[in-house]
Amino acid sequence: MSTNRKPYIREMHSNWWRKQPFYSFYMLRELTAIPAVWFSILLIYGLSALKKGPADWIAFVDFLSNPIVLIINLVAFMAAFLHTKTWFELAPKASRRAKGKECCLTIALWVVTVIVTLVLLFLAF
Amino acid sequence: MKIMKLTIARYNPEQDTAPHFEDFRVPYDSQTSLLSALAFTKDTLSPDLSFRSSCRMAICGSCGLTVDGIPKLACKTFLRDYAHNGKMTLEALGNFPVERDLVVDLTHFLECIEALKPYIIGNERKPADGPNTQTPEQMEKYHQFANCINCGLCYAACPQFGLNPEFKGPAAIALAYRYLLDNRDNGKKERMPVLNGADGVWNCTFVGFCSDVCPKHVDPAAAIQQCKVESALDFTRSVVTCQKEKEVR
Repeated sequence: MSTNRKPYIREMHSNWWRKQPFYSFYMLRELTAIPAVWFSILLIYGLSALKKGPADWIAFVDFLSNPIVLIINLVAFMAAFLHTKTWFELAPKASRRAKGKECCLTIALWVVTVIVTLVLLFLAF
Repeated sequence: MKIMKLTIARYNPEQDTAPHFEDFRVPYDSQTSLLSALAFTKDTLSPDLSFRSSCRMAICGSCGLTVDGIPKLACKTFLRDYAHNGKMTLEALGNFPVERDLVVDLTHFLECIEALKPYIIGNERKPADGPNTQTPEQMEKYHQFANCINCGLCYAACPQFGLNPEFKGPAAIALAYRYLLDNRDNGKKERMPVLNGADGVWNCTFVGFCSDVCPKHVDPAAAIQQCKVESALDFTRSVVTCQKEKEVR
């Protein structure tokens, strides 16, 4: 028995994420991990400078004052904010108990974040 | 009546080496669905146009296709919503092999569903025992995930399925989770190895477009994330159990 079937398989190109705004935003969300890596390394560098002594610490503070570093850190802050916002909006999906109370859980996560941030800022200054 | 330009991806396996686009102009009013427009095209403009359909009311899940790059059910899509563009680009459902025009081969999709055993397992009740009643609360747990009509739109929307077709995919995992939540079912031990496995829930990177395109609001992305929680708990349980076994030895 013969068949004339010849299914056409469409290739998935590496630019698939540019074809829909939804995918592009997803990639932007995933991209926020890179500034987070930068800031983590910066923190480790800062801790190391703190341990080594006052001269290293002053050099680290000078490094932070560099306009390029300031701009990178500003981008890192915006990326962290975007990541937090999208994650808090998606988090209720991972919990069956949050069904119908998605908004409450997102707001609760934001409230906890703001309180922890304020406490840390209070301790720091 | 207004006129809409339909740009349809045509593919005849007996003549073509790849799909090509063909334009059709169809009349429409405020009530014309895309399925009606396709039927008009087939009846009056191109009798050899192939597409699937059956119920016309988003129940059977047959008429899935891609409209301007977004997976849709033809019967639930209305031309009036595209009036501002004056044109619609139609292609076969993404991430599946194209058989002809707008018809895709769903064999692999059905195999994914079959692999996760979407039926009650391990319930010894007989018809003589009477109906297996459930409380509204027990049914509410899984009801949302039982609304899946197997249309395959979520697979067309999932880039992870496109990159790795071995991934069991949103609808199959949502169905598996539906049975995990059903108090009449005892098949967790049979489904968890597939969900925990290399092609299971951990392939999902939470793009979330599957839930966005789902015509029945099943929210398969939520099912997968909740399955990840189950999978993590299952792993923890297995580690604890192994430790206990070692202690006994």
